[in-house]
Amino acid sequence: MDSIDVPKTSAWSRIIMHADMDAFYAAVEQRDRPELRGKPLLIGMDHPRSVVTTASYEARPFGVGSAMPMAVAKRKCPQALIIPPRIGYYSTVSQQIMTEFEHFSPYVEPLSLDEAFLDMTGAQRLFGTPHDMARALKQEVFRKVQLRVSVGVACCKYVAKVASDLGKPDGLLVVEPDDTLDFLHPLPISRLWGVGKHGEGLLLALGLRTIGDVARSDPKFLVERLGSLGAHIFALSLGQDPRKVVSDREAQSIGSEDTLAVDVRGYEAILPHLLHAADQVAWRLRRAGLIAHGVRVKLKSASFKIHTRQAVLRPGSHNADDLYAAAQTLLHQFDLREPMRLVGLTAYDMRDQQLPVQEDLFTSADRRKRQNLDVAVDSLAQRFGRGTVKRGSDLH
Amino acid sequence: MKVRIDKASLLVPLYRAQGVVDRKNTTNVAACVHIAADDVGLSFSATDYEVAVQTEVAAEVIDAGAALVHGRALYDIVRGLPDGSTVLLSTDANHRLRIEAGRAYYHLNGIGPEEFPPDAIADTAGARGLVCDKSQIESMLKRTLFSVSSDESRPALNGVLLEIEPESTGQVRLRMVSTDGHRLSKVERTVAASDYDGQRHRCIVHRRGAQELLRILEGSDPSVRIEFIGQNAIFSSDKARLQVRRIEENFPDYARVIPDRGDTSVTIPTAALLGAIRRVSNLGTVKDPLLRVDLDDGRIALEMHYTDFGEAHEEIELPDWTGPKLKVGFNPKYLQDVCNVLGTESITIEMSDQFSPCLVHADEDPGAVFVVMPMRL
Repeated sequence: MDSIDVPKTSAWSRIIMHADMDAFYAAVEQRDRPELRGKPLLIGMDHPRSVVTTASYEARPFGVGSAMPMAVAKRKCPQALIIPPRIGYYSTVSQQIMTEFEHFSPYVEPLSLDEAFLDMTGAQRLFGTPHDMARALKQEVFRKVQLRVSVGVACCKYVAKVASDLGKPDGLLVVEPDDTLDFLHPLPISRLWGVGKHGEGLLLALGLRTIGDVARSDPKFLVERLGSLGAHIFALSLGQDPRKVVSDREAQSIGSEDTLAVDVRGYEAILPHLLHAADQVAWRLRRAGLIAHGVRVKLKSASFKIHTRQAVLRPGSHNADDLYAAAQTLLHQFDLREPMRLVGLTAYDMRDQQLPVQEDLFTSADRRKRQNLDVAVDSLAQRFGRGTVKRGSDLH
Repeated sequence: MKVRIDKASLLVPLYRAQGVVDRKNTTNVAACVHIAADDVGLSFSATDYEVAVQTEVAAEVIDAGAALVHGRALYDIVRGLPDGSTVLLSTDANHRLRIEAGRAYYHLNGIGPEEFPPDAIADTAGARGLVCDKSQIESMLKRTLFSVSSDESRPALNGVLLEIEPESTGQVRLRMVSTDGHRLSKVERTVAASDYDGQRHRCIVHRRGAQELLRILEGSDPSVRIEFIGQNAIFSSDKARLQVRRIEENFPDYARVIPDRGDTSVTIPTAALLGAIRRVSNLGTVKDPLLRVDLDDGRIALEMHYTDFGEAHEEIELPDWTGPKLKVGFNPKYLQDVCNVLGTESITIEMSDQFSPCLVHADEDPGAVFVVMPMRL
């Protein structure tokens, strides 16, 4: 049979891009302070119980990485400079980067300050091949903020994310649809999304070492042994991940969750993480022009059990204090005797903030004051960086 | 137990129990009506442990006794019998109730009547309170019940606040207040009372209790006795007694949110306003309907926008007008509800700006004030 020369892009059902800033916090510090360039940096507080938030690439050969206790990192890399983080400032830079991403696609889903998914499907006419798109994005980001971003491009979110990880630093890796399985199968199972240390142990015990091993196993057997995780990783091993890129504006919910460096136990220990999440979620709600009418709290225990509780937020809000107050009430409904490894807060039932809102007789005056405060804080954040204005409770 | 009674007399106590009995199909005490027959007559009781109602009716008691059967089922059977029927109620050894009328008979499975809590309705010996004209209570309830909250997470708002205070003239000041957080109703009346203990009383009566009270006030007795004992308020009228457990919560400080007056004040014919609101809000169902009200010199304009259909606009001429112009948004239902319960020729709307509570009242009913919170545009 004659082969017909079809342009390679025609096999792309979707073009999903994962863009991930390289050692973001450390790179920002090195950009702004030339004397730090080429030196191993640990971004984090120099405190016995603190953890490394980012290690610069110069520090990584010493075996240090994010979420490592600062004390351990200092032992491994004694010559590293320890730089306290400036989260508010990083948020401002992040905002510039996300705005740049939005010039490439209306479908940008920020995952955190330094990474996002972009749906570039249908953008070939504007930007050329997926490879051209990725190169243009990297160039534009560097031109705007002088920072390097690693980009992975594939047909689905999962493969795009693996591609950007493997390309780091300053990576550009495009996984053509037909090459997806060849790309995935030699990789170790730890590259499967959703497989942490816990899951890795389970899979190794079943004799599965690579993603290819998973793809060749009987899905029934995987489900029998691993439950829903089995079905999930089997689909991933075949490069199947139907999740869409969802921007905050069109999302059904906006959440923020953190797997903690150190497990926490008890009500008081969880609160600061909820407050942090509430701040993040409220900011994203306001950025997207939305008001949430529901709040959900999610905890994952040290034994990997996931617990959630949710409640209607009446009246709706995009104020961090309102979200936090609702989350505090919800937290009382959990069994908090076990240590928790993940704390998350999600806002749902979101409506456009332009829609009319029924004011409350007893609380409206208070609410108006707090909304005015939000507007003031947001405009300060826009001019001077998020974190310019801090909560009193953060200052000790 | 064996009794003979006409259908109309039997239906009254069964109807009164309907708001109390659990409507589920399981036959348990909360779903049942308790029937007791003795030398005096028949008594029907029902309780859900928060609200309890008891009604006595005259009947021909052939054999004394008691029964405990599904309240909803019994009501449906009796209601369906031909008008003018004479009904024969009797029980067998298995707690079954036989209902006979003409050539029809029914058997309802029951449970042991001794399972009905003997203290479902407290003995009012030693209770304190007053007796007053029931029409006042009825009219006050109708002006407040509609704005009670059904949001179970705000229990203090789930009932009507009833306040009783002595007046210097020897009369009694009655006050009822309700709010759902978006609107508030307050009605005050000075009434003649007998058997008054002279004390101040304050009690939140749960919405279901208040609805039940309206049912028992439908009888022919012109007065109602209100008593307080322990955790309960007890209302008696027309051979019926209603016991409502107080809501033990702090009612919000309602006086704080009722404005004295507003800078802008307009008086509007109620029928014209109701008609205009009905027409402009009739184009479609909206999740959070917004009635745009534009008060401009000498007229009020009402407007609603519908994403799917278009928009509606109506104006009413207003000769009676003071204060600056104002644009404000409301839930149309809130204004309609106030117009409907007031039932006066005209209503007066007063407000100062688009954020502040709006005051609604009528000259013809000086004791009643309503507050409606606007919607943020």
